[in-house]
Amino acid sequence: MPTYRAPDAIAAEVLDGEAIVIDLVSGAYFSFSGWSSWVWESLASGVDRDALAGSFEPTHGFDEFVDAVVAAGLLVPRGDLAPVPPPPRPDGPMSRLDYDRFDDMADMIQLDPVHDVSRETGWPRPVDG
Amino acid sequence: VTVDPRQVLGELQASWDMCRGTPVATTIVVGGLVLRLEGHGSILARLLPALSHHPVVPDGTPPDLTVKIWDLTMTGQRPIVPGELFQLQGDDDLGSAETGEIRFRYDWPQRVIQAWDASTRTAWWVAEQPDTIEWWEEAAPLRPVLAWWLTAHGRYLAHGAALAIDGRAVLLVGPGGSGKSTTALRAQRAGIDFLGDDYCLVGPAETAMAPAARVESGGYHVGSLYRTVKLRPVDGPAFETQLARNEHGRKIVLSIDGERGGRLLCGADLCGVAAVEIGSGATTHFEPGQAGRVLRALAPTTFEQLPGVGGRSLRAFGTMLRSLPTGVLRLGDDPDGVVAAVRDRIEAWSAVGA
Repeated sequence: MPTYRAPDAIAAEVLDGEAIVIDLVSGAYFSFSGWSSWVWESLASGVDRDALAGSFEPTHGFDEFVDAVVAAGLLVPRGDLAPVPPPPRPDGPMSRLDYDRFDDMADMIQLDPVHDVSRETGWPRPVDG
Repeated sequence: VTVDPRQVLGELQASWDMCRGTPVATTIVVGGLVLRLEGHGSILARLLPALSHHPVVPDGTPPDLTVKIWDLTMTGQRPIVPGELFQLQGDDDLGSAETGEIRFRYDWPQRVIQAWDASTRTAWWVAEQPDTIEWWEEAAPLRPVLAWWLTAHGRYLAHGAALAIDGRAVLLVGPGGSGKSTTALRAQRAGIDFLGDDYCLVGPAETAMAPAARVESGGYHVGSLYRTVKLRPVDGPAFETQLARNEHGRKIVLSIDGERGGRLLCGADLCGVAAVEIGSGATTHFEPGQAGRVLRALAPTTFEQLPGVGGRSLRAFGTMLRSLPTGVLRLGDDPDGVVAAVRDRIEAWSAVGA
């Protein structure tokens, strides 16, 4: 009976069935729509994963979706924290669960050519320059 | 981080102090806050035009932020800035509860180091060479530094265009290529007042950026940041006869002067937010509601280029979009119809908030 919560190091806003989630440590941000947003928000509220899985067909990819969200650090084990009221169930047909991930900023930082500078001549001269 | 960030700020200040000659300076009001810009060398003069519509205040006015701008050809001292300071990502800052926020960023395409120290109300912006400054920096200068500082004061940079009639504005949001800039320029040329195209400031009306007479009205305010419009070259020819500045590489940058079309405003009441999308038909349509879609059109594209402000801005955007009318504007092929739709939206949402 795994239950989850949103980690402290994220900020999230859910509006009108759309969720925007930012990982405040990595700078990556994520967006969820429709049923995917509902699943993430329900799990973050403490709804039991196994119970929620019963709402979906195998073609919706529930387990793959939740595993990916957990791996991305957007859900962590809930521990003893009490559940909070889950969001209302959305209308409309179900489709395969998915989310968008944006890493533009992280990419920029990885491309950052400043790694170290010469102690003698200072930035922007590199250590070996 | 193993280095003391304050020691590095001292390195930057020492480099600034070793610049040759007397710095030039100007002091302006942005979002109701006093911003002093000091420069050695040629760079400051290239950054000022995009900010030149903000009111100038006399030298000696206590600034809320001083930004020192120079390049390494102007100084006898190169600052030593360890690269580990730039490995921090997301919203983490290098300060503490006692020392206040400290931020660093290295802008690698331009080879510019930017740093901000909240406690001393000072930012440093130093380039390796003056000729590495890109056209987009001139169109929207100092964006990370301004974002850190303004966000800390409750003014949030929003990637969007703001247009107003009678002091009431609509914010048009969406990613690059969604049609914001073309819509904003068409509307401005048709007589609708202009606040910004690329990044605008939004915040609760009780922040000081609102005119005093409107503080009691509650709601939200939108402020101008830059007076420029960035157009794709393919869209530029439609406005070619009206170019105030010419082509800069990949985009055409126009400076709004208020002499043709609507006025250039520094602030207005914000009465609604619309996501802009390229439609598939001839006619422009508006669909009300869809606040989540509007958030999705606003937040990622805003945070994409603004390190370190995502968490606070996201919460502010969520609160704002829960309290303002929202909708999606699907742009048609007819330019007059686009302008009419913007005018209709401002007037309809103004009536809601009146």
